Amino acid sequence: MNWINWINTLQWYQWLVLGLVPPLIFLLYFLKLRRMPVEVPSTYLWKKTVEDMHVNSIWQRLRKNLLLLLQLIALMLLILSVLRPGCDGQKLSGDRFIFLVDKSASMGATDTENGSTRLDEAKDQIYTLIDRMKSSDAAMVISFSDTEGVDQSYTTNKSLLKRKVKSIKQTQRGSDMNRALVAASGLANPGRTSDRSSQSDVQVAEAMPATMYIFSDGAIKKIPRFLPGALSPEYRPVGALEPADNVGITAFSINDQLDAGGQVQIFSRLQNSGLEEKTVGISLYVDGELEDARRIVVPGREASDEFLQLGDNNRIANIEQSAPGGVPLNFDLTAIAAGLEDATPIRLQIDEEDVYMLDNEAFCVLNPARLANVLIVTDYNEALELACDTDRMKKIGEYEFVDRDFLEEKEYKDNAALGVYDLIIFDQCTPESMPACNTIFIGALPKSDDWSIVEETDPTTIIYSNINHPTMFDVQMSNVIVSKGTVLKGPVGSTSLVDSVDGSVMMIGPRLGFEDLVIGFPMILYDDDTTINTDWQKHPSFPFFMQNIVVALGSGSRFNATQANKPGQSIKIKPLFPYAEIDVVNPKNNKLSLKANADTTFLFSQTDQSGIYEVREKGSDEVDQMFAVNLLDRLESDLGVRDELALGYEKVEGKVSSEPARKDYWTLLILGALVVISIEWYIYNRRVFI
Amino acid sequence: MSKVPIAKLAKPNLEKEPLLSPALLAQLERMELVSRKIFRGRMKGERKSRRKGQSVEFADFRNYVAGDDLRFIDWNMYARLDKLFLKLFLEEEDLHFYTLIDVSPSMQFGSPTKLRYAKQLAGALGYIGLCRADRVKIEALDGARNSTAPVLRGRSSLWRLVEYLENLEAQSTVSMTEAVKAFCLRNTGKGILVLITDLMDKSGYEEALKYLVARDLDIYLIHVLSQEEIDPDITGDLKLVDCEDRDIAEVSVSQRLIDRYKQTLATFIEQARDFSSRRGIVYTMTSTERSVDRLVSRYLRQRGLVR
Repeated sequence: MNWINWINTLQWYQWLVLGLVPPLIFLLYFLKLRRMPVEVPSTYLWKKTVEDMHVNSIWQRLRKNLLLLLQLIALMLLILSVLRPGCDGQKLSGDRFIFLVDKSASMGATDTENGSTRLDEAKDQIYTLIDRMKSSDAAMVISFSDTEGVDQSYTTNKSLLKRKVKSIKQTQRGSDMNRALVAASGLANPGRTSDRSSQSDVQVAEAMPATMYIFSDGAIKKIPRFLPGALSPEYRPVGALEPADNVGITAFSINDQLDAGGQVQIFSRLQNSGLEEKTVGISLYVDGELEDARRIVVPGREASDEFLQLGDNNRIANIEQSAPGGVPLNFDLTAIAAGLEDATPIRLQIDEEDVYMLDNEAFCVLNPARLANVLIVTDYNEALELACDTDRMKKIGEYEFVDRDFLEEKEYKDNAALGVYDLIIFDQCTPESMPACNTIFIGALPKSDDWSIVEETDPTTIIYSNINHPTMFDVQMSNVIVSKGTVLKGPVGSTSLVDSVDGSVMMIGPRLGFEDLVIGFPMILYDDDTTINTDWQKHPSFPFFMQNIVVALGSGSRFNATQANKPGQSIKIKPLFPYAEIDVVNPKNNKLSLKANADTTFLFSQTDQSGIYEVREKGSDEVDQMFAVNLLDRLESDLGVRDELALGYEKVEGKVSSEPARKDYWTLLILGALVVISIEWYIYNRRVFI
Repeated sequence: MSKVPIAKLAKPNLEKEPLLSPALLAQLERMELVSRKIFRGRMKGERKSRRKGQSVEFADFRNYVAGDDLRFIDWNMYARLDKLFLKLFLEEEDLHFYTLIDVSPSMQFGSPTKLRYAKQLAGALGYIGLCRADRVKIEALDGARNSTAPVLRGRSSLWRLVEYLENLEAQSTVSMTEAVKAFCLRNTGKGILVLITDLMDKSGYEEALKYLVARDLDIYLIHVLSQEEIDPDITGDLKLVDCEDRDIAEVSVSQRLIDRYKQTLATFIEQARDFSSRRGIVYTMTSTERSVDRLVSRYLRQRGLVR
């Protein structure tokens, strides 16, 4: 049976104020503050009149206070309406609820029945659930994209919950529910905490079971390890019943010119999450000018037997079994890159509008060739000279060979302090002070107490090289012979790159934002006679290593196309000149000033908007460099709504909520109060007697 | 056409207008005060007296008795009938005309004020009397022992009449009974008396009227009420303050109260009319909205005060 129930929408002090109103009205009546003196020729007739009327004085009194009664009735109706009377179909079972809201990019799709975004639809569903909560029920709100945030911890205040739900903003990020689930289970499962940043706050509440409503389209990363424990998850899929016809760009990148023989190509991929194949117009803009336009046929979802079966509610039975259709798309920009002088923004656009516009654009930046400025300090090292003299190495850097006396000169000291060099290789020598750039020490140690020699070895047997490190790609050193070597100990945070049987002989360690790579064995010994200490230079791994260090430590990449940046990702900006402050202009043309770190780089984290960001010297209009931020997420662009979620080992079936929403009567009460006030006004002004 | 400033279109100040307009005066000149009783005047007037006297208007014959004035014997009759008859002529005489004006503070209400209205009415009736050489006396009911009111006669006294009226001010509260009593003690002459009042006297008007009736005067009671009293336009919860005795009546104005008030007022008027007619007083109720010339030329003519 549906009884009328009440929702308290006011705080205690607001009730206090409201409660003072009726006595105030009474006081005003009985203090007779309202009587206005009017002079008349004679009160003779009036007194006579009133006396006549006093014959039935009880009714007279009642009638005299009719306006008071009406006012009190109107006030009572208003107070009742504040209590929000209403009846609802069914109460939610349980007394603790968690609303987990997906605010990732795909929730911005407008494929819902009423044309609003999926996030808005999810919010509406949550409002309905909040209304159905009992007054003693507590709920919390967590929103997540690729990060999570507890928007509201457990509270019984429904209006607060609604406010917090309303304040959830759409993001352009991917979705990762893992951390959100950890936060959600904090209270339900003992030993976990919802405030993970606090060390002491281990158990913030008693372990209490809670129902967790997940509002998502299911386009989320896999959740490998999750044990619901006392949480009972309920998945509420949001979005169109059928996969929307969305064609989006899911890949957009510029090739590595080093590997492509001088050819500059853009690789992109279009994805169609709809059932039917679709023809779309594609436009490529270089620096705002239309460069290429094509019409592309993008196939629909790959059909499988299972996919064709429609579920009872017309939802695609198992959307994960069918991959969205896709087609690759390449553009050749060699001619444009050849004459390039400044960084140039490139934008790929799908001309047709669809329900999810975020993936209809992709950006990247084509930067002019930038050569790494490498200084090599050596008395004589033929192997190094030969390695730097290859065509491939010349494409990525400029190399200056100097002897160790150059370290004493003012030119070196100035340049090193200003960060003119990208990389300095010290061959068996050590500078007086460390330069403001990355360094490589061969057979020597950086001028720092952090670095030390553990022991000297002869011979040195190399057993392992860390080929996962960017400086060691394709560098296999187990076949390299080294006679004299030293086992190294680097600063905290160092990574060993090459290990011998006695310990690490090549390490890379941090120094105030720079990196120092130390090779524990010299290549040539100058003791008495010039002797070769290693045969490394004869192995193919040596030129690979040289190329790697110029690319990784000297920023010697041919194209500084930062297409891998995702919304929300922090970006380390290294301007061409060591500015103290820079302005970053985001795609919405908002400017943000940054101050340089110790290593003259800048950390920029406000990359929520996809598009092209411009880096300028503070106060200048000249663009120093640009970088692009793209979502390019296959999961997000696939608008097919998943019917079930896999939470760890548990599968949660999606339920379409169709429970009747709460019926509110407060509007009727307000209407009634208005009618009473109107009657009171009419009686007061028109002198009507009822 | 030049535009007239809005301020000039505002309601004219009635108090500043002349008490009696020339048009009204012209109209009044053709009228005459009529008494239902014929009283003996002190001087010859233009009025026929019940007494036979020396005028040119023939009244009757009677037999000659010794001692009659031989000048009035009708010698033509004597020639024809050989009997002595005496010709009787109607005597013409003047009339005492009194007007009493209530000058209590309650008369200050209304637009124009009831007092102003009473002054106009008294002036109009007085002028009729002056035109007919009646003895006109207008007095304020201020309870004074020695009245300063002039006795007027003849059309030329109009300016004195008007001057007296213009100088009349509302007095502090005076009981109507006391004031009428004082009047009766001062004036013993018979004639027509017009009492102009709003009858708003908490001690009652009956006593005062009885004094007048006892004087055997031809009494006309003109009951003046302002429109605000007839149809009060007030709303809300009010504290009504009596302008005379500062008495307070708290009322919550509703339609029912207004209806009841009107009923009470109607009863009050009815009682006054009833009281008057029982005692041979001619009662006329008028509102200040009704123009004086209309009241005189129509209503008072109907009631026989003028013709």
